[in-house]
Amino acid sequence: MLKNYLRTALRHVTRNATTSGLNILGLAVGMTAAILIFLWVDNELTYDSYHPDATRIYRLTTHYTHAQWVWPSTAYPLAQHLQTDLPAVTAVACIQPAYQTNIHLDNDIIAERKGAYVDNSWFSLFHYDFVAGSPTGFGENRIILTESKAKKYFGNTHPIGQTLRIDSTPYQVTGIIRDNPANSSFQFDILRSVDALLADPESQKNALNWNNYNFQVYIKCRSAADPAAIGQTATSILHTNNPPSRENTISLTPLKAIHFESDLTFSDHFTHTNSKTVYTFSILGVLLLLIACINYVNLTTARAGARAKEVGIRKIIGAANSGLFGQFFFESMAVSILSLALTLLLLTLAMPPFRTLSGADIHNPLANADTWKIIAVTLLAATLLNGVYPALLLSSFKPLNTIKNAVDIKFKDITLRKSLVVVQFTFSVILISSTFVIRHQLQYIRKTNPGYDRSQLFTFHLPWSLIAQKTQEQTKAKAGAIKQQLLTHPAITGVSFASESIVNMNNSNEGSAYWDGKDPNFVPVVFQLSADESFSTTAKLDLTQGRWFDPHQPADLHNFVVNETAIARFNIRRPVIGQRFFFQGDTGRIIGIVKDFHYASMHEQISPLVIMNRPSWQSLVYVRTSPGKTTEALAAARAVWSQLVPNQPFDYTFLDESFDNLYKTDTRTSTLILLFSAIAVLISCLGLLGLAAFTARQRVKEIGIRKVLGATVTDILTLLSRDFLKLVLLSVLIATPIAWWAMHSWLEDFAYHIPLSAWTFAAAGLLAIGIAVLTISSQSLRAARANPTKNLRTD
Amino acid sequence: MIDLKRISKWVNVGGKPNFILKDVNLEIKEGEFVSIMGPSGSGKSSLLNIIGMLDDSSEGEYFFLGQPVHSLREKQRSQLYKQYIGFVFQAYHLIDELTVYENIETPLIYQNIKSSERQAMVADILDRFQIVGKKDLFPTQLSGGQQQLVGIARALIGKPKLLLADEPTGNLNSRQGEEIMELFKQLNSEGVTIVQVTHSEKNAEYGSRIINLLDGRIDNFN
Repeated sequence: MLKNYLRTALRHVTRNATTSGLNILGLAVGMTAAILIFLWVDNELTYDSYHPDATRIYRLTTHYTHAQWVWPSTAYPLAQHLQTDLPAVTAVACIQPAYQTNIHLDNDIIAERKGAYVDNSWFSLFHYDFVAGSPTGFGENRIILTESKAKKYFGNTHPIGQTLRIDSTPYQVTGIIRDNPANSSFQFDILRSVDALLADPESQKNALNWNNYNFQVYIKCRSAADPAAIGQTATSILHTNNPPSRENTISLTPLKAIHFESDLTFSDHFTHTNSKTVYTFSILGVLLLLIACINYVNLTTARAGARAKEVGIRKIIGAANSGLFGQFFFESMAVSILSLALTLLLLTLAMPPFRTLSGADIHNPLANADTWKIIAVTLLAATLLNGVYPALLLSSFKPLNTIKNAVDIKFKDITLRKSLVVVQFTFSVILISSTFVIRHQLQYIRKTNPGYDRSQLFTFHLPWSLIAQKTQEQTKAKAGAIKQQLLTHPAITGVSFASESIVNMNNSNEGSAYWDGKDPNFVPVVFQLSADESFSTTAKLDLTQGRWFDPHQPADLHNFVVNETAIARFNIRRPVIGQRFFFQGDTGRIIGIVKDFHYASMHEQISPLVIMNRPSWQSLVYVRTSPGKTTEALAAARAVWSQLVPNQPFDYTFLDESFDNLYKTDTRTSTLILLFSAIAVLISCLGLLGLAAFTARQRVKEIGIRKVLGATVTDILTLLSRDFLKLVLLSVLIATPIAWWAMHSWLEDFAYHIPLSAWTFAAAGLLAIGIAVLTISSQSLRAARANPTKNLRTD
Repeated sequence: MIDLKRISKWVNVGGKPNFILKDVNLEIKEGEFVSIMGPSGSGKSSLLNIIGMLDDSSEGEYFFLGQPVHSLREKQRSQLYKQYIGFVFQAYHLIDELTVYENIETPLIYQNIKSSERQAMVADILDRFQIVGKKDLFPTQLSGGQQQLVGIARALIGKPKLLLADEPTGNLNSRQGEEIMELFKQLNSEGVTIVQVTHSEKNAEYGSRIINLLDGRIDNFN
């Protein structure tokens, strides 16, 4: 019996190669896309949960209530107190990410970005797989590496006991850990002991100072402990030991929530994801799967008409309903298995580009139990829907009717199938319009003049120790000499010193600005930038009033330039130029107003900005290159660097790249949405194709008669397409408000965004309709062109 | 074998019953070869379908081999039908996706006959109908006459006592039609009861008895 079923199934698949191919392809593409999405979602949702007792681990979060700042770090001495003063805390561990770890290898210096200082208890609080060595004996001159890093520096030689030189200190390797899982916040691969940091007297002084919040502190609590109470106790410990920090409070952030933090004022060096994005993509995954299944059912049932005759005959020659049920179920399973094979192939092919696209370092999806769960559930759903549904449908036919008039079956469920098409197209139209809006917004960001010129501009940091001299004047002279040295090279057209990158400034301050006539209750958050005299030219800033700092006027070292927003908010006496201004302990006058520029991403509103010229704060060198001479300019800068800082690698950043980095998540979302809408549209079209083919077949007699009566091909096309266009139009009507709402809330995240235009939605709707028309006409045209006598004869 | 008592069949058109068969009484004995004739719309096919249990009568009693078909449940009726009745159609109604061999074999599969036994039975009938050479072809690769041969072979494979044929030669040319009729005659002589519906006077003559149907009633002039 099975052999007979299998034979018929295979012959059906091969005879209708195109339809079966579309069917299998649609399901496989849908499954692949859904699996990729769920793998990513799974990776995000399980962040940091692999540590034992992850639910009992918390990070101390400091809140500077006055300014609503949130720091992921806290004072190091507090950690010692927690262990001794709080019985609810069973373990405490600290970490301080290292900005840069310079590894000296023979004559090379390699700058490693993912180094950190951790204390000994780090390894007991968090789970690490030691492949060699152990955390015992970890201390001042010891180092623990990941497998990849060990391989990078020691190749195949056994790394334990080897030494690695960082700056001028040799470190002995005591442990090798397995590479950090993709779903770990702690992606550090070179771990040194906090003792190594404290060995430097200056660093030790800094660390032990209750005012410095340089360490991230993690605690493990007893299961019954109340995190809020622990936070309060920690706050009172802080206040007792350091009365000036009374503005600060401590709270506990659960380890598993760290990945989804979005309110940190200062970066914790971890990767974060917006939980909204995760949920959006989960829904997207489910919907993709749904439309793939819908589509599959639609195509299968569309073909049921063609199968009706066979079912009738089988019934007449003795098939019971159970037998037919088995046959269709078996057939459906055969198609599902083919889809599975194709899915696995597609998944393997799609994995590397998807890793790049999503930025999630997910490896070997087939080893993940969840992949198989997704596949199993999808295939089960598809098989059941496609096996049971047509079987029930067909076995309920009266055999006599089906064999007499195979094409004239009245499908009761045509309404259901039409609604399925509406669901598919609604989803597609939402995705298409979202793609349009997101692309449009990203284009807007790229095209909008940020108020400075980021092209052909790169920056590098000079060590503080090199720049800072005893007085501001001496510092200025030192910087001037370096500037001159750089400017001698023809490829370099401008050099400036400033305190930070204008692409993404995060240095703000509160309560230190004062001016004549200021309302004492008005305490605005003020962003600050220290920049030298040539900065406005190098970065190409626009001044609306007054002037920039002048190198020949010594008083300018104390004067200020403010932005338009500052003027608008501060209510400074007029004329603004020349007014006295107090900032960061210095007194000067406002000498100029700079046009507002975007010193952060367009997600952020431009706040008041005060620019001063304090040379000792300026360690970031801006270099503008002449067009097409970037390589030469870089080489020149590198030559100057190696003279000034011989034992550190030259590390530079192009402002263009930093700018792109600001919108990395947005760009990624855009690409993924584009990809998934393409998939959704493709699958929906397959469904529509099936339905159109079915209708054309169903109405073949009517078409024949109409043609005999004189209908033209156009008349028939209109007749057949009208009903479908109504469905697609209905989808557009349903989709537009949903897409409008979704995109409105997406744009809300940007302080500066495009207005939502009705045209975008109209265009998306038209595109969907256009695609639908093309799909339908491919089928309708065939029906319309067919010879009517042939069709009428078969009746 | 077949005993129809006051069989009527009607469909409701606009609330009024429209009679297809009216008060038909008919007895057919085992071993008979009956031809049902009549103009289009006289109810020939409906009568055949009721005899073949493909359709129900609206009224009346039907005894098949002494069993009251009109009061049997679907399952029992299907059992009876599977065991004793073979059907042949004007349009052959072969399954296009199956080969000649598989088409003939399918009813046996539904009767849960073992594979080895099926093989022997199909081989026998292929041999008898001289279509062994065509066994791996698909229906569309055959002529109409050949397709009808396969259709008859399929109807006979389960060794039915009753063969029902609805215009078996309607789609065939006269030579092919004659061959089929000869075959029916031979089958009848081997003991198979045959009821056929036909338009053709000539074909009807092959039967041992002719029943004329007019407007749903048996025309009893002879």
